Amino acid sequence: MKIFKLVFLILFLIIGQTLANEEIEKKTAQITKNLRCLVCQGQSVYDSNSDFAEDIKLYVREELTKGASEKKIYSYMVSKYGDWILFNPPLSYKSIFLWLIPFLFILFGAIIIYRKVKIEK
Amino acid sequence: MQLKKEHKVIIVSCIFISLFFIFYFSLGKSNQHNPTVMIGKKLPNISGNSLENDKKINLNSKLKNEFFLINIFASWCAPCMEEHKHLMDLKSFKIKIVGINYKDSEQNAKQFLRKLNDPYFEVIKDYSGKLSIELGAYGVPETYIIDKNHNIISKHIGPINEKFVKEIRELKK
Repeated sequence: MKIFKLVFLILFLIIGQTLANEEIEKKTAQITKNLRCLVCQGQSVYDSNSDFAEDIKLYVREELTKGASEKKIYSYMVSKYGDWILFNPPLSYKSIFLWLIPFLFILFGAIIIYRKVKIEK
Repeated sequence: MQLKKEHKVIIVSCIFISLFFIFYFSLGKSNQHNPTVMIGKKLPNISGNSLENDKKINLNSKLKNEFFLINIFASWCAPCMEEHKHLMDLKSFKIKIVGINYKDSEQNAKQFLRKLNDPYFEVIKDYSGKLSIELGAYGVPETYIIDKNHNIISKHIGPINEKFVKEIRELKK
């Protein structure tokens, strides 16, 4: 009976560890897909095998293992490399134009269509 | 209010001319992004093991109130060999340079320094790349200028040159 309990405990620990590792890998992939590889042409850290990307992947994995939050990892990366490292930069006075351009284009297009329709009537 | 045909042509031409110049100048620019967020900031805590004797070193306490350079290098990096003579020049002008040996092997790094001479005041091993991330670096070689108050004044990406050596000599004065 004791041996059965021990085997069960070991199996439980192994499965628990594997699931935890899988979760960390999943989160590492999720975070590194939103980080830009600064030495590559339009690739994310996740997609690149460059030294820089490998360093970042290792860092993210280690921080997640230590229990760091996603927000903490992103803010650390931004503090070291700026907003440019994020594929999805936050709204700030520097990026306001970037966020507004699509809406301006839509507005401009809507005005043109409205004028055309009005003239045709 | 209707726009006259000539006005429309002028507006469209202006847009196209502006776009042409934007693309013309943007294509000529380097597409390598140079992160400058670390410039002006305090030097982060840089500690690691010495290449010479494997002892733990804390740069912030070791070089208190001193002007120095941090140079990220590796024995496998060809541009590092190219800039080596300039690092030797800086050493001859009594400028302290701390080497961060990035993703290298101890044996190769020591051989590299024996062969080309050692310009470094101290070399710290960074075989996991964490120290380089801490500095906001993304490749080799990179050189950081640190003032007496341990602020990062500037950084240079790629091999340093004669112009850089002159600038450093001026700053040291």
